[in-house]
Amino acid sequence: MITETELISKLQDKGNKDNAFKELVAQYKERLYWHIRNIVKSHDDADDVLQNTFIKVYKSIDGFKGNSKLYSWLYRIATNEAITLLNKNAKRLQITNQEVQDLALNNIESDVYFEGDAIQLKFQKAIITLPEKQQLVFNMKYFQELKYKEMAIILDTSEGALKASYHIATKKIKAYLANN
Amino acid sequence: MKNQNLHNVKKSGFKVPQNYFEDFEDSILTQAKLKNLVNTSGFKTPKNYLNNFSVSVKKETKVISIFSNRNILSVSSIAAAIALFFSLNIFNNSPLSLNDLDTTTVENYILNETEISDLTTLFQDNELNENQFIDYSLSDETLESYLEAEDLNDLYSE
Repeated sequence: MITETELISKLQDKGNKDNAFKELVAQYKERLYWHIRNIVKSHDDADDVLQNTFIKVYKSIDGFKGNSKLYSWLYRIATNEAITLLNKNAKRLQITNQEVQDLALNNIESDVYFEGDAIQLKFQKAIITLPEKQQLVFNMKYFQELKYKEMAIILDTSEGALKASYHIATKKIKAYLANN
Repeated sequence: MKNQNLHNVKKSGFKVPQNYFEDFEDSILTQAKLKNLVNTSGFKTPKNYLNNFSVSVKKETKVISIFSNRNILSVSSIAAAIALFFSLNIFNNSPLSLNDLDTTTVENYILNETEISDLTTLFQDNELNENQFIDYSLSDETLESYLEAEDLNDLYSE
């Protein structure tokens, strides 16, 4: 297993770029997939966004300065791409991002790629009532079990603010489940 | 960071298609390389086209069409009346004469619409003369050229 520094230098070396890229994809594809899926909800959208993410990475890896860790850079691109898709769909349908997610969840019940029960579906519905940032924090902490330290770098927010955000999100979700 | 694939399935309910992640690296590399090469469609716009873009909206003059839904019935009945008026030809005061008919129409009429017995009432003479069918008026020139051509001796023998 090569170090991050080694990986980056290979990615930025023309001769090694392709192999290094495949290595990078292998390492991060699943984590990034689930991060994206939690935002966009449907598998097809997640697939699109994941591909866009890696394509963007391939294009701009030469400009990566190494100021931040590779994972935070990747996560940031993935987050931006996912939000961009929500924005695009919202604009096209003339609705809000939350409504886009709601639509996706309404379709999810008959979706082959959802095997959750009624509680899990309600859980998802509760999550999308949260503001965007809170949704991200909640998903990353609860489902992906990222550390606050890592999230702080990805979301460019202090750990304290993230903890508070998570706490509020949990309370709101509990309230939603109790009332619905 | 741990691999949370199964973990996620248990918690969120989302699942991924079987074998989705297999060979993902190869296919994404191919795509990334292609997209890296072909960035744009190749289409170009003239310089400053978008900067100087403006839409000129022509002021619409109100056109009141006579063919509105309300009027369509009355308009079309007026038009039909006018058309009928002209087709009936009531402006033409002079009565129709036989000369207005063309020969073909007359022939067809005689052939299809009349009996021979009808025609006989038209004849005033009881007997028919050959002259009524064939015009025997020969010019002097025609006579002369005939007589010159023929050998008059043949005539004497009769």
